[in-house]
Amino acid sequence: MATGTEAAGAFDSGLTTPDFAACLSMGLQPVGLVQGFFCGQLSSWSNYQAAVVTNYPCAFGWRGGQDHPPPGWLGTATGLDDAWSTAFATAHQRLAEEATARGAHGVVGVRVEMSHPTNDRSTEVHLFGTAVRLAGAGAGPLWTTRIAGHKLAKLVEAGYAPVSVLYARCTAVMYEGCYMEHWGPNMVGAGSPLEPIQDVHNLARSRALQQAWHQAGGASLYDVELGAHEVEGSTTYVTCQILGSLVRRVRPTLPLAAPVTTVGLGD
Amino acid sequence: MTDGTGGPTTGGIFADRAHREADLGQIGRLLAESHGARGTGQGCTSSLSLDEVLLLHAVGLEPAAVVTATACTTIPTGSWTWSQGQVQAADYAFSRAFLMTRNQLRAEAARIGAVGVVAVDIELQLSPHRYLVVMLGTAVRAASDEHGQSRFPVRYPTPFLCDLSARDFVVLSRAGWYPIDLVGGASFVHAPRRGMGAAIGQVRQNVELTNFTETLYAARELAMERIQQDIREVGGTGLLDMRFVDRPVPFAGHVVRFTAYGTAVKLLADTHSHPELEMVVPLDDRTVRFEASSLD
Repeated sequence: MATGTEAAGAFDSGLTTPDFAACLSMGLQPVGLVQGFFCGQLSSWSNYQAAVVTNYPCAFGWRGGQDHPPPGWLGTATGLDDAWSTAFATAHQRLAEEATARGAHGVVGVRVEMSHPTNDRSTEVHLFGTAVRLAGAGAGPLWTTRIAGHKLAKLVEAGYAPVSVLYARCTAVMYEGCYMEHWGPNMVGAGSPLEPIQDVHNLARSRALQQAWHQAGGASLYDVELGAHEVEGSTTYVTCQILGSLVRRVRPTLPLAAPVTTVGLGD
Repeated sequence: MTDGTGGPTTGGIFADRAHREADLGQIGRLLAESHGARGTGQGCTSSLSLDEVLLLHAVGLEPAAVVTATACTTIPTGSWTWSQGQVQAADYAFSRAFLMTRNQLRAEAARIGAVGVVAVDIELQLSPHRYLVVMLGTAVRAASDEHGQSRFPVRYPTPFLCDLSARDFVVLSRAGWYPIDLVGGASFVHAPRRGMGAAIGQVRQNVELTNFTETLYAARELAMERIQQDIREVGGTGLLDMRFVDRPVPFAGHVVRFTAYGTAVKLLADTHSHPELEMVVPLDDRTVRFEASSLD
């Protein structure tokens, strides 16, 4: 879905003036602003498509019964996570295709916006950044990064090369059955661990981090922004999302100079 | 290297190198050379910015992985009913949840061979029936020099935890101090009722509610005693960057809570050394970020 809009002899960019100046000094020639969009709809079943990780045993040792609530369980909402991960991957691919079509080597200053534009059942991912050509670069896969200018220079000086923007997420689900009731505050003393709540929080964060590791494939992930959101009810959802910059080491890091402590007089 | 008491110690710190100007053209050529090249070394995840990573590298540390821990403890029904004195169930729920989370985070850091965890973000959630504590930070490991030797001068018996930023960590370590552990203390105290006569008599007066003022002082004293005890237990000699919450509990307005937490630190060098400060006048304007709304 590349839609190049480059006018002959002109470029457009989302770079700030300092970033633009630094990129030129590094031999990065801006080609144009490139974007990747994805708008979608979440399946009405996405909240119910869960992969169960743990079935909690009945707290009272019962195996069923007319008046007995079902035991609780812990899992991940695979439908929701697949929808958002696919939305991001598709938007990122479209951004990359647009940049490649313009003959760029990379995209700098990538910004990511994700929202529900119309209602809770819709997904929108919008990525945009500035495609750049690199003087003297050979063939290789297109890279994307959220940074530009002097920050990119520092990254390279530290021995890294950018790879891509990374997004990972996990929505953990905990259904409260009798197990939760048993572990409720009136069945055990003060200060007792409330394991199902701990489990759902730990599962969301650890699975999202595992996904990030998996996507990194041996590269390093910096600038990780990790956000978690809990919706509590008879079914508790904890969503953990990770956005970061994937980089790979191409040279050993040299010991840097001892930092100089300063007092700013700018205010 | 340890101080014989099981605590961490330090030796010489920095190999002084001359500051050099960045050659952006040369850096650009390095980037062009690396285009398409294969990556080397072991990967990591880090919630630190690149600036923070470079700062930590200057003191011999590098990020290993983002680590997280959660603990949730119960508070029985009826604990918040207006009474007198402390809400002991809530005090205990906090201390247990804080301790459990701290231990989980340290165990996770130890599992991956980290020296410690920096920039720990601590989230405290109190609700009528539970206390939830979530900690998330970046585990760091010692960086090696060209001979494979550790460049970090301190040997901790177990990974340290701190909620200091990388910048604060570097400033602290240059002064000879090092973080030891996260510490916390909390206290929940019922404010005593005013007598009916006093309440009616003061309806048309601007008066201090001494019952709430005194309760806040009482809650603070208890919480600070607990955090002081925690500092001593982890082997620290001081507390930095203490955060605290001193407000009535939202769902039980007659209960005043005082929750404090921060990083316990200890002087590991022979003496404290004050860093020399250079004054700078920044000439760069505030960065204006590009927003998609400008496309409208």
